[in-house]
Amino acid sequence: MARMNYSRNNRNRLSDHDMFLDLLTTEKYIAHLYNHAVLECSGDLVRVTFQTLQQTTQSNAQQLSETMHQEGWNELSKQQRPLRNSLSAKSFKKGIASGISQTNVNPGLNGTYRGKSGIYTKPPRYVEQYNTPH
Amino acid sequence: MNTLTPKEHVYLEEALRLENLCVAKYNVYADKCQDDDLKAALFSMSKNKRRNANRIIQLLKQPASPQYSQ
Repeated sequence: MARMNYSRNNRNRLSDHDMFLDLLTTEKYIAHLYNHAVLECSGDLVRVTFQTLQQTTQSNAQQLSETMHQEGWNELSKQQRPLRNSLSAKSFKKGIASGISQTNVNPGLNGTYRGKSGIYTKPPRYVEQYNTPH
Repeated sequence: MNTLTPKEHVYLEEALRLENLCVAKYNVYADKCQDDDLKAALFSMSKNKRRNANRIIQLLKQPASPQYSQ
């Protein structure tokens, strides 16, 4: 099913999308190798070389990824965006429904806020939205 | 004089193999690509990979570390 979306033109011919996807996958694999190499090499020169090669590989992968995004081939990012928005909208609505206010997210010392997952210097976004005067 | 350990040598050889594969892929795909902008981008990235491969070849010319050599 997904394969049909990638190669619409011809069954035995790679589309531009297929080629970019393959190159991105190869770059990712090489980046993994360089990561291991940097961590395991003992010589300074070799390590620095692998770090440089890693940077080049990452910039290539970024360029491929950006091109795919510009061409509209990055279907995952398309799907993630509305999902993220809907999740934040849901949590915001849930916050209102459960009567969330500043008392639920405790303002601590020096302007810090303590939430369930840690201490923040800024209040969570939904608290700002909720407390903004309309 | 810098020397290579066996592990570094294996990593460099593997990296060279993959960089060469990547250069070949970039060139083949650039030839087949229908969009001219994409073609130019692929050729430019292919040059980066070729530079990487040359760098690895230079490193591989170094002798193996004496403590590991037979």
